[in-house]
Amino acid sequence: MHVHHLALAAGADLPLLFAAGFVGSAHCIAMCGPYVGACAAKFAPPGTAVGSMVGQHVLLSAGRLVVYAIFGMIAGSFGKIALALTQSWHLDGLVALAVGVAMSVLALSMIGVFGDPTRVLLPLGLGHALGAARATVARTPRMIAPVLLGMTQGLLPCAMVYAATSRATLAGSGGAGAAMMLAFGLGTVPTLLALGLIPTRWVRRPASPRLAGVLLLVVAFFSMLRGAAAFGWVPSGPLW
Amino acid sequence: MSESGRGKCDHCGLALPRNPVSEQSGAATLSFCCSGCLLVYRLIGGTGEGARADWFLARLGLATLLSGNVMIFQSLSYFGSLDQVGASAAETASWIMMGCALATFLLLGVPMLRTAWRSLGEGHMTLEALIGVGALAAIGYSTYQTFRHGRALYYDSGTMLLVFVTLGHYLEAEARRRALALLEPALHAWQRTARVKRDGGEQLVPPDQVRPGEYVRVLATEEIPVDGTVTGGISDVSEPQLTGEWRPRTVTEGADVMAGSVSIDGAITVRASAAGLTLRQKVEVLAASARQERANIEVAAERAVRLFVPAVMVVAAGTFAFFALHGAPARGLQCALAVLVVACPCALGIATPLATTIALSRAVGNGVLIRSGRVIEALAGVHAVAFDKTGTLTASQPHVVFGPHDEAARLAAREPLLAAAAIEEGLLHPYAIALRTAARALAGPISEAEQVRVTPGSGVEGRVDGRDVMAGKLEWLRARGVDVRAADRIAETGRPAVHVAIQGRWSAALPISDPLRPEAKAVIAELHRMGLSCHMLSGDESAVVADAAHALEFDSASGDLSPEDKPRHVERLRVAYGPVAMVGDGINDAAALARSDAGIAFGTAADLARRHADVTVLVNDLGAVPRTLALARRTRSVIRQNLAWAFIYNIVGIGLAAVGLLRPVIAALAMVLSSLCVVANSVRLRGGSEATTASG
Repeated sequence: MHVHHLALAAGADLPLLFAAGFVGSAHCIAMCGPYVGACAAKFAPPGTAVGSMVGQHVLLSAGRLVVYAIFGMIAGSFGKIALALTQSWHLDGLVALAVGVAMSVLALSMIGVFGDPTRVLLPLGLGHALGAARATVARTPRMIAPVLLGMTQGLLPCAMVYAATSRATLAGSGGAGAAMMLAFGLGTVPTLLALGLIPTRWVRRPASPRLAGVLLLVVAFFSMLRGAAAFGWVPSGPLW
Repeated sequence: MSESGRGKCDHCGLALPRNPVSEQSGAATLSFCCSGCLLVYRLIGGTGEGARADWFLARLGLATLLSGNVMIFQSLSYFGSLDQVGASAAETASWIMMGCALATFLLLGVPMLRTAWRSLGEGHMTLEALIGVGALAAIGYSTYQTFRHGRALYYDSGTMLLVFVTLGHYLEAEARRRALALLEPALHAWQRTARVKRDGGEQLVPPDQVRPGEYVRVLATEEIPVDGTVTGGISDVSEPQLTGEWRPRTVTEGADVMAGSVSIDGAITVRASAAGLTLRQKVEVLAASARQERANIEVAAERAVRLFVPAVMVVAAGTFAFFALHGAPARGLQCALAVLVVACPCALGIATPLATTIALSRAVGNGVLIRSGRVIEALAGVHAVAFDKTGTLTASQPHVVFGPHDEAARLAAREPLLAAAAIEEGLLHPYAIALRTAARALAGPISEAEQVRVTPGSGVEGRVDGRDVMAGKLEWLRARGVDVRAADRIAETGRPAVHVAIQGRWSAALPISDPLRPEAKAVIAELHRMGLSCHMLSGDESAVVADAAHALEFDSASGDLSPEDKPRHVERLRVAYGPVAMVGDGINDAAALARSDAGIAFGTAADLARRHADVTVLVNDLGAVPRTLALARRTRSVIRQNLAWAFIYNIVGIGLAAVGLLRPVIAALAMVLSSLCVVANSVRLRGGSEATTASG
């Protein structure tokens, strides 16, 4: 079925999302590092054994991936309905086009062309919620605290995460969306696990979010091609 | 522009994009590459904004977003779009709605039920209980349906109910917070210190830390920080804001003084009486009692809700029973649910408090403190307005005023006035200010005075152009050996005057009085336009009162009234015209203010704490009276419209739902629309103007 083709054609997108996550995560360290540091002092005081430290960072990433997967599941579920609706209205490619446009805006903002569009979320009280969450983390047992903290971190507004989530809208179902976001999230894990080991000056290279932005722009382009193909404006290709 | 020229993110250090996210922090503008960096920067204590975990607002925002999603899917499903595209999409939508609705219930419903549970423990059932239970029923039943793959979903009714009621609570709290914030400057002005005699010395402490029985010293020109009794010294004290009496009062040992009055010309020692609450605490206590005092219309609405709830339960149960007996229990459940949803007393519950709260905060914005919703109702219903004259229609700023028939006296007083003004130069006594103003108006030469000596509470003496000049009370002049026989005739009239003696001989009495406020005439005209009759009640001489009443076009006037006479006159006005508002100032009108249907007092926040006036006007503008009455009328009509709307909607809605003509979805939509109507109608009070030409 046409809708299935649309939904399952992850094509080159999965590796691209993984790569974007990997390259872009350098920015995560610069951004979230101080936050993680401020909170980690509560459950991993200085002098904690290296093994335990790594374990805690694994839990931290696990928490973040859970949130990404939930994002993916929500996006995939919403997307499923949107895809079905547009199909019933004979506007098959509409969702793919919309996702392409949204991803392009987010990706271009990472490259530095636009200001961060996620700033619209700032007045929604997100800061208050995160502050409250941080206070909760401080009172949580040592094993759960890193997971909760990772989940909080996953909730921070981030153009890269939203771009990937937009793509998950096309996944076709909640489960597929979650899987797609996990692929993206796994890309960010290696860098964040190596948090303590990477010299800061490596991290602060401005190229990192830009390169991730370029990769996401490619995914956005594929998505738009997919939409255009569904409308019959361009022929279908192997990657879209 | 080069990249380095744009600078780096103040949090992560990466290059900034062309259009960075910026935030003002003190004098510096911080720039961030993305909003994530800004949030983290705030969170780790950069600016502290995020640390104030205003969880309430965050919950409301999140719940609004979630219920918005529920609403979208519910309307898609209602219009049949989801069914067209297949069962799978509809099924997914059902799960999404369940997730959003359960999250909304956790965010808003659970705290509401907790509040309801607490008040149930105290023995009363609140609207929160109904709303919490209603939302729980709608969401719970829908969740059951989702698990059963059923299609009777009412997630939106439940979530919208929670969001609307919480939004109402938020608006109410916000309006109160703003009202208190507006009071802040008035309260702040009162944060004085007291010189307390302790441990053999003097200590400066905040007035609320003065213990009863302690001695407080007050120097000339200082404000008296505590209530108490004078134990030493003599001074004139000025207390127009407290008593409405514009004439300074001389206090000596044994006299009672009140916090907030000013010792004008002498130092006194005051023994503090009962340790009072701080003014701030008094205002807060008052505000709390105001919240408990509810308008009659509000009480009536509440009582109606109390009868209404069990009635709705009975109708819902009856509806279910009817359909069940006729072999359609599922349809019966649907109709019963529709009855419950459509009857949700949401609009009824917010109809009065929302309008009242908006009106109260609007009034505070005009510089008027209205004690409660009940007062708004009373103000809206008055037919007549009675005014005190002194300090209300007049400005409590003494002037030297000669009567229309005193032309000769005025000419004779020219020389003494200039001499008296010379020795009064630089003094803060209200009479001194009045003399100087009058002297300046004469444009005569005011000489330099020498050897000026002030006798607190009595008068001033000094040498002007080589002559001894004394100005003050007649008894003081007499006691100092001045021949005052020529003055006795004037003194008999009892009207206040500064007596002047030159070279040991009485030479003139300078009559002091309090002229009418410039805006008074326009205000009375405005009240007449509003269909109100205006009456003057004054302790002043009848002739003076009649003149003033004629000038201002009052409907009636009574002079020579003692404080005990005024309440009787208010009573008489009520019999003749209907409900009466009394406009007065200070505690000398307290009895009349209390006897009237709505007492409007001019004064300060101090009065509010002291006297429990219905309405306290903090601005020095009589125009506040017609403005406040107009606002009260508008509020009353908005409340009536709200209640009428809510009741009609409920009765029609329940009727339709009970006979099965209203699907629960439509019921929920109607409920939301009804609440929106009430909110929109109430918010009208924020805008518009209390049309009056008589503003100062």
